[in-house]
Amino acid sequence: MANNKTKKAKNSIEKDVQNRFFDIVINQKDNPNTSAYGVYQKLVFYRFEEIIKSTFIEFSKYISEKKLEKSIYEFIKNPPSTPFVWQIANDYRKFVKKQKLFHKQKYLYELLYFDWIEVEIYMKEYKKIKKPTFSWDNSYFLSPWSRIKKFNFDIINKNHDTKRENFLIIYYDYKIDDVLFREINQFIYTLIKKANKKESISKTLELLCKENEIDFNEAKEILEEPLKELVLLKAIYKV
Amino acid sequence: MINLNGCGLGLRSDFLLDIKKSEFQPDWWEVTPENWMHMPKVFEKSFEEAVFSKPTVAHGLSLSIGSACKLNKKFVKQVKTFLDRYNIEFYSEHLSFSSIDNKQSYELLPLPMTKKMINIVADRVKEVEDIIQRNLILENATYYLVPYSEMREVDFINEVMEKSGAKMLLDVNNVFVNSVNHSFKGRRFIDEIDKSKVAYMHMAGHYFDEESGLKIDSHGMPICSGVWKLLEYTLKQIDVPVMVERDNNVPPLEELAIEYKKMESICKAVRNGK
Repeated sequence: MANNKTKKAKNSIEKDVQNRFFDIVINQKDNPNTSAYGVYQKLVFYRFEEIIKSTFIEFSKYISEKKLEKSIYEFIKNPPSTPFVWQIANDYRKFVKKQKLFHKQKYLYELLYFDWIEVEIYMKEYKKIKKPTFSWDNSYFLSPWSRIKKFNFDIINKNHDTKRENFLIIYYDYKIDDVLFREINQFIYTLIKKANKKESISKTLELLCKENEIDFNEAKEILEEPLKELVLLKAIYKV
Repeated sequence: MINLNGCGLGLRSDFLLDIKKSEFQPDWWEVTPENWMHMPKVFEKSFEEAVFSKPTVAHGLSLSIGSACKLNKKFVKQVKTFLDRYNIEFYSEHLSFSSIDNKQSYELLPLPMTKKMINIVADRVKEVEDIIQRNLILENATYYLVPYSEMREVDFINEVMEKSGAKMLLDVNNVFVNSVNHSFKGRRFIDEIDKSKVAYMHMAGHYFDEESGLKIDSHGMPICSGVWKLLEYTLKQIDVPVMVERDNNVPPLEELAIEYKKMESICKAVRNGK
C-alpha cells in the first residue's frame, strides 16, 4: 500500500491528467463538467463499433443491437493493446467468450470465430509456395493461410442454433483471391492436426490407423484424392 | 526539406483498385502505415504500383507520441520496416496521445499543454527518430477540450517543434475546427505558427455535432468554404505541399479529384499572386 502511494506520488501532472482523461473516455464515465468528454466517448465507441460490425457481419445478424452495444461498452473498458485497428475484432471475440457474455447463445462464439478467421486469413501476408505436388512420402503441414476447426453448431448451413459436430478447413483460394471453407471428415481433421515436420504424411496416417484400429491401405486409398485436392488448393503444403 | 511538390492525396483502399484505370493521378500520395502493414493479397500489386510511381509520405495513427508512459518500440520498429520496404522517407504523426500503459483508445486525445509535456514529447521524438532513422513530422491535432494547460496551443506547438527538432504537418482543417470550438481566430493562429517548421499541409472535412455544439474533425465530409478560405490565407504565408485527407465516407476517386483540383487551383492562384 505504502509502495503504491509512493509510486502514485511520483506521477507527474501530465501522467495524472492523461490517466484521468483516458479513464473517463474508456470507462464511459459521466462527466457533468463538460459535454466534450461525451464527444470523445462517442468517438471511441464508434471506432470500436465500426470495426466489430464490419468484421462480424454474420454474427451481427443474430444479435440484438442492444446486446451488441452493451458488449462493446464492456469491451471498451478492457481495451486492446494492438496498434492495428482491424485486430480489435480478435480481441473482442476473445473477450466476449472469456466473459461468457453470450453463454445462452453459444453458437455466437463460433460465428465470431468463423467471421474473424476469414479476415485474419485475408489479411495474412502472401508468400509464394512451391508448385504443389502430392506424395505420401512427403511431410505436409497446414499452410499459414489455412485453419482447421471443430464446430459444435451447424453454422455453415446457417442453422446456427442447431447442434451438429462438424470439421472445417478454412483456406485462401488463390484462383479467386477469396477465403473459402470446406467440410472435412474427422479423420482428415485429426490427420492434419497430427501432421508434422519429422515424419511423412504416410507415417502419420499409419500411426493414426493403428490408434484407431483402421486398415492402413484402405485409409490411404480413401484419403488420397481429398488430400491431393487440399495440396493443390495450397491449404496444406509440403514442408 | 521535403521531396514533395504540388498536391497530394491520402491513398485509401476504397479506391486503390481504380487508380490504374483512372485518368486522375495526384502529384504524391500519403499512406497510413497501420492500414497497409497488413494488407490483402489483392491489394499488394496496386499498392506497390501506386507508392513506387509517385513520391509517398507516411502518416501514422497509433504512435501516441505524447503518452506519458513507455514507447511501444516494437510497433515503431514495424513502422520502420514498412517505411524501408516502400522507400518512404517522411513519416508524420499526431501531436496527441491515443494509448496509455499499452491500452489503446484508437482516438487522438489532447495533451496537457505544459512545459513538462513539451520535454516529454521532445524526448519521445528523439527516441522514435533513433529507431526509424528518419525525421518525424508532427501534426497539430483537433481537441474538443483542454484537459490541462499552462499556455496557448500555438505556443505549445511552436515550442514542441523547436525543442524536438521535428517538422510540422499543419492541418488547416484542424486549425479551423479548433478555432471555432475554442473561440480563437484561425488566421491569428496561422500568423503565429513558426512557418519555418511547416513541412506540408492537410485539408479535410468536418461536421457540426448539435448535441455538443462542437465541430467534429471527421474526415468524412467535403471540405467547407471556411477551410478553403483559411487555406488561401495560409498559402500566402507558407509555401509547402498540400493534400486532401479523406478517411470516412470515401467517395469514388473521380469525386475526390474534383476536390483535389480545387485545391490545386487555389495553390496555383496564390503562388502566382493572382
